[in-house]
Amino acid sequence: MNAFIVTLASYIWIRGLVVAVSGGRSAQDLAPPLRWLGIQTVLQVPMIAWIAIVVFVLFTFLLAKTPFGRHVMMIGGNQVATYRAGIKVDRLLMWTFVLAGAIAGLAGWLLAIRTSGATANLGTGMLFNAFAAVVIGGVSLKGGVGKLPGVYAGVLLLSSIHTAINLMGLPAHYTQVILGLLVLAAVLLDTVKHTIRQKYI
Amino acid sequence: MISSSRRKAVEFVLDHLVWLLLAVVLIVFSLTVPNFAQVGIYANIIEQSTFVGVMAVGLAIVIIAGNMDLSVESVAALTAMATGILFCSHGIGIGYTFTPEWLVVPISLVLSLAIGAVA
Repeated sequence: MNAFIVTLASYIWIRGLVVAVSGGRSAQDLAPPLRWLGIQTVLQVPMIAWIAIVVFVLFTFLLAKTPFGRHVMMIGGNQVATYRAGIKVDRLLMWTFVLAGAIAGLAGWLLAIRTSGATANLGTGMLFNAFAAVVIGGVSLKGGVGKLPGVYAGVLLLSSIHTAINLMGLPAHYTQVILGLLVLAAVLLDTVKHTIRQKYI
Repeated sequence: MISSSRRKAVEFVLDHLVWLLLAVVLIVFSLTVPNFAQVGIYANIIEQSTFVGVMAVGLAIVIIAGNMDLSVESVAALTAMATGILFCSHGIGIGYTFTPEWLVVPISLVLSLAIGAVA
């Protein structure tokens, strides 16, 4: 099965399910302990942001230092060779998707406690921001290349630009134009990096 | 051929290009955009990065493994909605209450695990 098509289908039907279950209405006023968690700050930085940072550190470690992480890298680099080396490729790939789903669930949970509720269109457009961050962060879409700290830098870069655009008072519509150009620049940069590597190293 | 120390420097710059870019962007914005250079703004940037950031972790793992996962956004929306419906007291919320608050964490995580497994 092609993961692209299957997850595209999930993208559509799960969003549909969200709208159907909620009937387009929203839920407000989350339980007080959760709301408390959502507004708590540590060292002037919100608690939920610390949770995100912990997630990044955890999975950076997982990807760089554990057999699971190394196998994931290997699969991305060359799936057939990894299979021939006796690694259970299918099972590992399934686990990456399960993991991605669980992490997305965490993101949704954070989103709910931050907004103290949920609306049917919550998080719309985040997929493309996440994609942009991943690409800007230096992860190759061909697989096998990439580090998570870079991805976090990509996300920070995106929100810095977002904030700057808001502060400058530009119409919000321009944000998308600029972000799109940024992704394009990131892809070009990736190619340039590759060329420099081959020339000098 | 270039010397190995120069090579290391080039390698370092290429590996950490995003961070350099981030630093440059932050410095430029702090100097040029009015009201940008504030602790609150920086904290806000970090806070804004939370949701997309967490989502990007899962996405990055799948992409590094050479695959593609478009469903992360909807999965996040679904868990947010599930959390909202179950634990909100107004709107369409049912308003379940537990004595320890942390019970919400495993519940939404198990739910998303199931959906992640389907995708």
